[in-house]
Amino acid sequence: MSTSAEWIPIEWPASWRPEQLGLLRDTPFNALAFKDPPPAGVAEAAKAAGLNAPPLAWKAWKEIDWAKPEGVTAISDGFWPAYSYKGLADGSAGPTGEPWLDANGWLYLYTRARAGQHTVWVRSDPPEDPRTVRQPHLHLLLAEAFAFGGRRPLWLPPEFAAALAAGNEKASGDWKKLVDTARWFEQRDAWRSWPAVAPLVLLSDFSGDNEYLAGETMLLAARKQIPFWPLAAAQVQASDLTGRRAVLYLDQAPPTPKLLALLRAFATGGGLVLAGPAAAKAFADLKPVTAHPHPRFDILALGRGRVALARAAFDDAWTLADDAHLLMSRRYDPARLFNGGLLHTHTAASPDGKRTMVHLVNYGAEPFFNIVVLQVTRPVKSAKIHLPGTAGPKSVAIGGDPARPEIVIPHFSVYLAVELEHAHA
Amino acid sequence: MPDYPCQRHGLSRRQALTGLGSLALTPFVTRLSGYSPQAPTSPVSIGRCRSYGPEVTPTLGRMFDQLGGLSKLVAGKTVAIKVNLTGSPRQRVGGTPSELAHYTHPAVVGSTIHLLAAAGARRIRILEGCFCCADPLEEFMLDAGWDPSLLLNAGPNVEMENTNILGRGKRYLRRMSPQGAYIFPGFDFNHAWVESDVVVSIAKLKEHATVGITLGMKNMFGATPITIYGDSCGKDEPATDAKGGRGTTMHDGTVPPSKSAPQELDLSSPRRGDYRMPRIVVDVCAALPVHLTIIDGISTMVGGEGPWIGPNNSIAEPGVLIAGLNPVCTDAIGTAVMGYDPMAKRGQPPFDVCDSFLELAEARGLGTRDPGRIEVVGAPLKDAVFPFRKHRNGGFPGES
Repeated sequence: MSTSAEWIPIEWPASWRPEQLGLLRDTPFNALAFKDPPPAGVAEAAKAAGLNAPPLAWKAWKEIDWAKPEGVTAISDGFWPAYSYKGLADGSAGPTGEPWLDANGWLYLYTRARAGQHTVWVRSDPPEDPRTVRQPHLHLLLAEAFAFGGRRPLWLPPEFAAALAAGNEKASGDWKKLVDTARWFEQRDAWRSWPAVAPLVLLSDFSGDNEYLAGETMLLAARKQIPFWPLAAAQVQASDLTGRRAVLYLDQAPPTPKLLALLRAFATGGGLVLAGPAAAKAFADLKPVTAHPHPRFDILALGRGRVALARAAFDDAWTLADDAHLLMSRRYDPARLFNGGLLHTHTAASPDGKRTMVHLVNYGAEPFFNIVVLQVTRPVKSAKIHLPGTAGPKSVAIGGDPARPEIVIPHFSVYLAVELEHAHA
Repeated sequence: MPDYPCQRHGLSRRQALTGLGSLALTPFVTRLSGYSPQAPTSPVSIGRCRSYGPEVTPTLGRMFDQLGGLSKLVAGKTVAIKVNLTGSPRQRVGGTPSELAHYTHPAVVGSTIHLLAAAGARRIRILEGCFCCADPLEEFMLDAGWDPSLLLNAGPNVEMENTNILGRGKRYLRRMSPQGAYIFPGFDFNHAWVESDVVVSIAKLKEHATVGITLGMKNMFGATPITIYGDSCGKDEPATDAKGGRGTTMHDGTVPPSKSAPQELDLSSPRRGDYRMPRIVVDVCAALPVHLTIIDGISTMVGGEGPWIGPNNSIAEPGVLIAGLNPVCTDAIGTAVMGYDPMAKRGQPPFDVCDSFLELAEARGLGTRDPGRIEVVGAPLKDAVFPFRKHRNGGFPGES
């Protein structure tokens, strides 16, 4: 029996009966996820067929007790990943002024940071009218989870599931493509665990009074494509901060003595620590840097680094994420897209540090017509494009300034990865 | 130096453009508020330059020498440089980097800084009202894929500021137009504009959907802070954060600027961009005189001012730099280089669908647009002409 980390889940369609288990034969899907108690006989038949059907207690991400992990931690309140028209309802693009994407990248990063090796599945309710779901959206479910190192049970629209069960030729063809996509991702499963290239750390206990701000900051930082990594304040170690450029301590309580020592050491070594007014006493001995006053933060010098103390309690996660990014500086962003539109990136590094993988997810779920250019901020020896549905990677030309190499991204509808080989780790 | 009225009165530029100066000039302003029959002229230099490589600095150096040298303009002075970084830093014309299309190229900015510093400029400020935001200019450049340190290291005392916001100033500072005004009698600016002795506009050689062309004068429109003149400006006082463009307050005139700033002269005037924008451009340049205009036409875009003007835009390489001490004269020669008649009126290219800000500026006495009255030095104008319309990839907004 495989371990839960190897389980590749599909959400069991309500219309399917045990005989539909045969559809999963010779596919990567080896685990069933039930949103509600399964129909009689399905779980038993699945087990008999060698499939896994773990008991799942779906909970909101805020309700998960990470200290007591269940067999599979099941998070029920992800987003249906898509370009959302919600923000356009009143004729505006929402408070961010940017395309309003319902995206789960932040949640996958959060679950990875909190769960470690423990298995986490994320789901969401589908759109109110499932007939609006097109096949590329189903590929997007798989692609988004893969890109950010997470795992999401594949959901099938009822009409599609029924047609598939009935042996409909078109549905079978679409199913094969989905299976091929899932297989392609599973063949590259190791990429899921590559550490994120994230210069900014978001530090919180992610609970109680801190939960809302921490959640919103993750969500909105992701929307702004700020490369961050969340860490639980109580568990953070000095090694977690190695290579980071900034730490945003989000919580309302002053940092504990142990955490304070870590933060001071981080700043002394050249990092930037951002914190709210509650941390002011902890840094009362520091002298302000007055050269360029910031409208919301007092900047203090500490060793080779800085401490930025907010003058007022954090209340606007959008502005806070922006402030943290700008005070840290965009120069540490590992990648940026030009004409990116509805594309999001996630950059991860190989364990040996010699390669980076820039995952690109197209939330529009259909081909774009812009010329999209990826710029990375580290010299590159070679670049390869990985595209589902193709056998192997293709080399791609590198242009631009050698210090900021650029790659023209081929058109794709859902997912593409750019693998970069660097001269040095 | 341009022949500005304030100099005739023996006032320093700072005196003339602060409240004291404006009071002292009141009788003169009244006389000039109508048509100026003999607007001042000043030579314009054209330099052929095929790339953004090492040839940029010597080319600009020769051009500045042809204009009489930079030293007498900038020695010991604080110089403000308005660059043109219009639009989102992440938006490109196709895959072309913004500096080869619609942004002034950092090589031109860097070379200018180097030459200004060599001419004795005491302090050099690179300024821009960054698109819809309060981001530090350095961070805006990083977002465009540039390395701002190359510019900050191009001279000994270089700084940057996003002038959409208060920035390093304690309050916004006012500049009134000594020559009278069409729409706004004056503007409130970020301190860096007013606390500089010399203003340099480094523009791109481009067409513009609203005002026909965008060169040195139109570039200065971006000096207005969006906290006061933007879509999210404060009602009574400047907003504390900078969001949105300048569509409602400036282009359309449907929202007034913050009440703390000088208000429109005539609220019954047309609420249309094709009427307002050419006039506001002139008003800005009258309130904030430009002492040196440099137009980057080495590589640019044809068909509009940015990637959002599509789909008929394209990249072109006119291979030319243009510089002059009078912004109207310089823009007039720039217009001629683009293959247009700077004497054109509304309805004639490039002012097909708008009033001519060159004509309005000339009428206001800022400078002549008549090529027959402008001495061209350096490369002959006829050799530098690059007819934009012939290179346009299709039609233009407003064209039938």
